[in-house]
Amino acid sequence: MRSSLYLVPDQAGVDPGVANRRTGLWVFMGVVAMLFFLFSCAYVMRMGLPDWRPLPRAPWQLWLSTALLAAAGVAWRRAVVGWGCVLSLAFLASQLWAWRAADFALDANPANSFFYLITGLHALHVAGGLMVAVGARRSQAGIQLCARYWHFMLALWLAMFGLLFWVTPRFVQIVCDAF
Amino acid sequence: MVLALALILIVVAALEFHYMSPWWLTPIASNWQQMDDALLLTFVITGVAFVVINLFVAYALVRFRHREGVRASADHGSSKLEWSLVIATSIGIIAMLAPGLSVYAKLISPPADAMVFEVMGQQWQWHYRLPGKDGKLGSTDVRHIGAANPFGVNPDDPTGQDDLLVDGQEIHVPLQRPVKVLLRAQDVLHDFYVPQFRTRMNMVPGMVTSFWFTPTAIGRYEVMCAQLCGIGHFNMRSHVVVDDAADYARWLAAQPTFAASLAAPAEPGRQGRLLAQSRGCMACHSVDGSASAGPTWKGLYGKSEVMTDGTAIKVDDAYLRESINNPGAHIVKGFPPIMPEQQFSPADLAALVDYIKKL
Amino acid sequence: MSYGGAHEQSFWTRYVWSQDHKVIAIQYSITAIFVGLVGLVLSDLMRLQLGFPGKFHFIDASVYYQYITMHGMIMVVYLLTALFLGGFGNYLIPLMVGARDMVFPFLNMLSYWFYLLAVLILLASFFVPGGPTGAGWTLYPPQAILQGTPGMQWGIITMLVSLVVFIVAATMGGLNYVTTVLQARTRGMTLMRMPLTVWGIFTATILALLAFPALFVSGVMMLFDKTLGTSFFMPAIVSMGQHLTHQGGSPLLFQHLFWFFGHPEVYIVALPAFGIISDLISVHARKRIFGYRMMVWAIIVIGGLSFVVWAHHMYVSGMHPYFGFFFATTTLIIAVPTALKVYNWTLTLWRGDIHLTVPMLFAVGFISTFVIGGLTGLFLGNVSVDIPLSNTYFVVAHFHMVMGVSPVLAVFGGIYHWFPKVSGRMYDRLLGRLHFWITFLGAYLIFFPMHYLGILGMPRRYYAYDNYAFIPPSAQSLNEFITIVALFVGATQLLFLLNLAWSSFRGELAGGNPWDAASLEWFTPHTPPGHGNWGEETPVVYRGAYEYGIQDGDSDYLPQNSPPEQARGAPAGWSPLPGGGGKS
Repeated sequence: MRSSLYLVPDQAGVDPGVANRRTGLWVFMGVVAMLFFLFSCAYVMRMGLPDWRPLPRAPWQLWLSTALLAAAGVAWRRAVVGWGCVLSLAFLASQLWAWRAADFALDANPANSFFYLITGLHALHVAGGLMVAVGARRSQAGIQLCARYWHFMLALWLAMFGLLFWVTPRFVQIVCDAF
Repeated sequence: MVLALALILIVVAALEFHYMSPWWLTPIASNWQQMDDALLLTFVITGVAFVVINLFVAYALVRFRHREGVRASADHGSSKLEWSLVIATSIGIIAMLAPGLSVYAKLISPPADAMVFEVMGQQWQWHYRLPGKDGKLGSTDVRHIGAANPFGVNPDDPTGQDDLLVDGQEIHVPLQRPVKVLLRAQDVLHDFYVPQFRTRMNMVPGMVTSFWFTPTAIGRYEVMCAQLCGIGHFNMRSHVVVDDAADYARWLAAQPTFAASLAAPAEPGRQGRLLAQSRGCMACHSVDGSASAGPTWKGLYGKSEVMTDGTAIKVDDAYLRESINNPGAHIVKGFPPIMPEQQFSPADLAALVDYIKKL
Repeated sequence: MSYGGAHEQSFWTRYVWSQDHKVIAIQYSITAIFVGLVGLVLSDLMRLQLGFPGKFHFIDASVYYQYITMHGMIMVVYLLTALFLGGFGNYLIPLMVGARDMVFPFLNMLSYWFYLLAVLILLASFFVPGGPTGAGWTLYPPQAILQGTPGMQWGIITMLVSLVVFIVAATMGGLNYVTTVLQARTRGMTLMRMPLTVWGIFTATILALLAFPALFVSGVMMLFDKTLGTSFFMPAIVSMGQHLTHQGGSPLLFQHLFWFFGHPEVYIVALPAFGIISDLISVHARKRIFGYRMMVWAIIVIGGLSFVVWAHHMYVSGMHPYFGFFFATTTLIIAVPTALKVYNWTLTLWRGDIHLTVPMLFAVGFISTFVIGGLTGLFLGNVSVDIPLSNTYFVVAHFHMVMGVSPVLAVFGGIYHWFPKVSGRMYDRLLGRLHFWITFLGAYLIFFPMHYLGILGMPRRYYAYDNYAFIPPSAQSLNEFITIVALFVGATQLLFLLNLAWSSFRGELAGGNPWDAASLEWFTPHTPPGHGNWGEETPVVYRGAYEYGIQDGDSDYLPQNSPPEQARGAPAGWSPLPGGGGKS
């Protein structure tokens, strides 16, 4: 980051805005990562209580979601704005579909509540990204930043998907015992 | 100059206040003298720091006040001095932490032979339970909690049959016997706090928490709730009485068992009384005439009460039913409008009104 | 982007929908001070009940608990956090690092309007059915959403929604402050040449960005428990005789999440105060801050450690007892870098050239009150000493001294110090001194004795103390005394506001740098600074911000941006960066 540390304003040809947005995005991704980390902690802590019942199998629509989100990331990386937006909207639609297919009662048990809460917030962050992307679509640098954000959303999605369906009390027990 | 004087004055006043203060620790009635010792040690170490730093600043303010022609020193720091101060501070910290943690280790290790009693907190009253002759407390479940069974003791559990359910809001403990207090809550967080015992703990619904102590002084001590639990939090009162062995045995023998409470003959107004206890009415309405947040029920029926708007209403069945179902409709003059609205089934409502009529 | 020419701006884009960090800072400050006044009035009402129990019939138990809750939440979040980050941070960061504005001005503007929205939603809770929540500012479940607590219908929902909106605002602002410090420093302004005010606010902002999510998580989960019947925090409960449908939740889970936010939150308030005090003492004692490097490291270490001490708020919560050992240790460790900062402030005064201006009075007042507030923290951090003191007036006295008194003294000192830069005029000195003396001495009179009520064992959050045998009648007299002093000190704050308001228009013109300070913000071409701050060219920095105590020459200080003698005729490739020559 050396070159971006000492800016010389008013010097022709150097656009400080790009470096600023890059840094700003890293900071924002840090905040969002923290948010989902804390939800994960809450999830794992809640798992420790006696009435825990794990979620049943993942609805297949969630696998579709994963593919769509990955594809959207690729589209952004290749600067194909149209496909990036369409695939992201498709991701959101597939999430809604998964919700209906899952048919978990929200308050029936704690795992269900977490499922809706975590996937809902993740979807909100993708939707928010879409809104910002529409504004940034004209600049090359902006599109690359969108790609980075989409990769982050994918990584987050994979982590949450894994958490909700594969992190069981037994798994947590094994990990904790290792220490 | 004046500022320096003010700082010196503050130091002197603080020290004087500390030594003259009428507000100090209550006389300790438990074995946890070491906690008081740790507190006093902390006072000494922090007191020294407080005095030294304030006096140092006061001195600097005078000695280095602005004078014509004199500039500040070019000094910008000294690593050596900083590290020495860090080390000195760390020593002070360790001097406080070590005794503190050593007492804590004892606090969390109740002796194996400690006797046990259970406190159940409820908005805004206390219930006490003791294991009976079998020495074991019966198992409980929230499902069983009801007006007649505030602890939720499992009626099918044989060990619970002989549990003693203390009548009233006063628990006794024998002098010099270590006791482990088991804490539960029906509804929200509470905290069983007796300043004279020093140790205490929150009561959490869905959990059983505990603390232990050995009572060392005979007396009657006030129990206060020390975790905000709603509008009756400040009035959730009870007492712990430390008895000598003989008095304790006498008191213990007089407590009813769980089995007896299940089989109790229907005393008149019993259903109403149990409802009044379980629904929190007793937090604000006394039955013996004593003043509380709400009007006393003793002698209430048939009285003429004056409302906040000046009108007088005769207390009859209809008024009682209205007061229970719709507390905001009429407020008795001199009392705050804080009674929560609750729903009662017609049978329960009738039982409650019936109980109040007979007081 | 050139700032030489004037943009066409209407009244609305200049003063209302402004994207200029200075205007946004003033908007934040005015809103925060206004809501702080509401919080102050609430505290007066609480004190009326405590000092004269039962005499004010409109203050019943329900209303009293609503007052304490709103007072606490307003002061901690909507006043102190917003003022230090949104007020001081917005105004000072770009000026102190030599930038023209924050890096995302539009986002910065949005951040203020979201903050205002959060404030309006919070104030709306006074008007919803059932009134505002009375659950205590810590909002613990289960009681926060159950019968028996005021505002359990709409009040708690409004509160939680307001907090969520505030967190969005804080994140938008925080992105700006962090990115501006990392990216927009002017030439020569290395991180280790920044004033400590910037370090304090920068670190506090990082804490805010990482800690507020925990409040968000707990707030959203509580909203779900309340409105959708989930059981994140709600175990099986019998409330007022009714079996509720919740089960299996954990009230302790909320406490862990809340305090994971709550403890860093107090450092979000304290770290900017620390930074500001360092600057005030250095400037007004005409001496370099003692140990700048260690002061920076102390801020960073305190910030980091603040994330691993949270459960010292939970020693009597019923959590696993072994946690007590861990958190008592980390809590007492955090005292060490904090103490170092106190020593360095006092050592800066040593051999200084101390001018007892109003800002300096407040800085010294800060040291004294922060010392006692911090020392009482050592009682509460040490687990076994805390157990009898938890939830008593000892805790109330501690957190008021260390959050309510000393950071507020730092706010006052900072406002008096930078007032000439913001307005171009000097405040009335006599009113300023009067304000200081009444506030400083009054704060000691109010909060020092209060500690002893806690040692006696008087619990906090009690509406009344009728008929407790262990409480002597003198305690009630003390409460009366404290109330009278508090009402008087509260009213005196109006003097401060009057001083600011009057002096903004009629104060004596102050010039660009009335304190002969060395940091960049005092060297703008115009005072108050114009849009774009620096005119045609941004400044170049040659040294740190604390070059005072210069022994030779006309002046006892060297501004950050005045070129060194050697630079005139410097070799090609010479750079203002540390190390001077060649590489760049």
